[in-house]
Amino acid sequence: MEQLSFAISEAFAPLNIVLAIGGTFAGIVLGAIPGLTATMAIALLVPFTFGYPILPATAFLLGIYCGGMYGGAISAILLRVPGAPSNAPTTFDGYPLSLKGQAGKAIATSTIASALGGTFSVIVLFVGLSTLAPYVLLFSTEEYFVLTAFGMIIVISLSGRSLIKGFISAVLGITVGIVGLDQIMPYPRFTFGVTELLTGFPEVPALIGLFCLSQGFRMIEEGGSSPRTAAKLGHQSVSLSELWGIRRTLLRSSVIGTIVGIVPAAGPNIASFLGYSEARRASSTPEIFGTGTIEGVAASEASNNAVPAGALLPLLSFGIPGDTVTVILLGALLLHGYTPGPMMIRENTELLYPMFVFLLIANASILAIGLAAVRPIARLLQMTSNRFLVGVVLVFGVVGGFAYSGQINEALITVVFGIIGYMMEKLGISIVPMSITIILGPMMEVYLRQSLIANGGDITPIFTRPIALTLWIIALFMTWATIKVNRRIAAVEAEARQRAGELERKIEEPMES
Amino acid sequence: MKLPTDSGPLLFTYLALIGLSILIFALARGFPFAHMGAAGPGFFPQVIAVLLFLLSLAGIAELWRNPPRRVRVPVRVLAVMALTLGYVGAMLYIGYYPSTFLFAALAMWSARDGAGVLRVLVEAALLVAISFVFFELLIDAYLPTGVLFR
Repeated sequence: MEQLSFAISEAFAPLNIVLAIGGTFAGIVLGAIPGLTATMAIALLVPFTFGYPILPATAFLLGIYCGGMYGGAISAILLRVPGAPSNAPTTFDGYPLSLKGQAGKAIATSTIASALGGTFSVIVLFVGLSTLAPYVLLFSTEEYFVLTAFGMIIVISLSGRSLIKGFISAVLGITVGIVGLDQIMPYPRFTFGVTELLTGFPEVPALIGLFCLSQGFRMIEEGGSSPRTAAKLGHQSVSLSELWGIRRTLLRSSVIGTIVGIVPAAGPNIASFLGYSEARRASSTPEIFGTGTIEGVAASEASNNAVPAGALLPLLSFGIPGDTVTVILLGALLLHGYTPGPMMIRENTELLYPMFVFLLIANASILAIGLAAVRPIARLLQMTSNRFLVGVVLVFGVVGGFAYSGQINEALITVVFGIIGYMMEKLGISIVPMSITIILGPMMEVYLRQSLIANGGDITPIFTRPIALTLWIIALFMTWATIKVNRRIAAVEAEARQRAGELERKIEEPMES
Repeated sequence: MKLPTDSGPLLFTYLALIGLSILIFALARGFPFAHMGAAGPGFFPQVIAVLLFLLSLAGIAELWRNPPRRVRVPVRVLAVMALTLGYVGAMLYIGYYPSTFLFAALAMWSARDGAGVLRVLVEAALLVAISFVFFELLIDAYLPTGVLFR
């Protein structure tokens, strides 16, 4: 209890609060810009934290994470262009609400739903970590291997239409990870005498390249900066009675988002689509979904914003990233000398407990910023040209890679991975599995080899230890469920787009006549 | 058996990956501590190499099942990629600010949205100013001054 109160008092240091709020604001602004996701926002801004101690750095990054998840709803509602793929379901009802002149109500709903969903999952994270702590210590190398394999399997199953391409992407990430000094026997692998490669490819510059620079190249390809026509914001409010009317949806979506966040590598895309489709299924008037209902907006945003805290649970307890953002967070924590996992739960409570505070501050900031500052953000959306964004993304991406440790070769790695990421996406090979296995791959190898050494070369304990076997069963079930959900999501998306198109035509027809 | 049209880039990629997997396997076979078997440094890379090889073959087989879409990389994207690589080198020789201004201006102009040269130059200068505030004032990052200006 003494540790908890000390850690919480440390969390409320002025610099930490300022950075948590500032990070949330930066995340909202960057997340609102179409084409810039929360992952890119954190990748672009992580260099900002290199010179700060761990607590302010974490406050800033968690603020960006939460803000970035919410920010995409603004462009989804006003422009019908989701800030990130996970905000796509918000367009199904958010934009139709805009067409009806209720953009302000939609934004207010998404703001409140995001803050509630995020706060709910922080509470679950706190309870979850406290509950899991004694059991996490029972996990051995076999269980950790299963968890990393679990993350890899899930991310491959979500990587698009071709499982083979998803698998190739994952294996390429592992291949990148095996370069450098072997972690068990100190032997240099695939370094070809290059001293800089002894420590392997640095993860953070590689991830900045994969996510930011590749996006910059795609923006060059898209070219043009067609003027964005944003719906008028109007009066921003949603009544308490309206919110009370959708309370079950808010709770259900928050639970869904938290659970999906906890599943390694599942990601916010699944959370938001699942939250939306479940809300529609449970509704007594499912036919109104897609025509402009606040319930649809709330379902998508509550589950979307419940993911961050949920994704931190596997990261902090096992060191397994829950999504692409936590991959970068993991890189940032390692850079500051902290290794997430059971040791962190036991020995680094001075970092763990403040994280809850930072997440609560971030979600409170979303509420304040979303209700008070959306007008200038919406104005910024309209003014920002694709051309200027291209410059920002490319320059900040390259310099971000350089700023990692002030070595020019790291800027080069960032560019090379940017080119690789762009070419992979052109060939229909998703970069997401690769981004996760760059981190998970070396971990998988270490756990596997440590288990083999401990068991005299016998691999069977990985499948027969009780906890490991239970985890395999859960992993296989979750993979099956994820594939099923993914198919349902595709159907929901297609139907909602059709409804939105019909509504647009209905509204445009009277104007033409 | 004729390959589906537009499968050239993917086929080339899969063949390159096959080559890479053979290289990794051959190099890993030569790692010491082979007596340690699966626990040695060479085992995991060999497994990865075999996986990559088999997956690439499966990918080639998939070209007939799911014919790929046409892959076209615009010349301006290739040019910006080359520019970005050149930017890294230029930073080292002429320093951060001149190289960033030039790179930003050229990259923004490549976005092809009809903006005039003057507007692009002004925005490039604005971006350099923003990056000065961010990198030097806010995070106190070291930015290269350039070999030529030392």
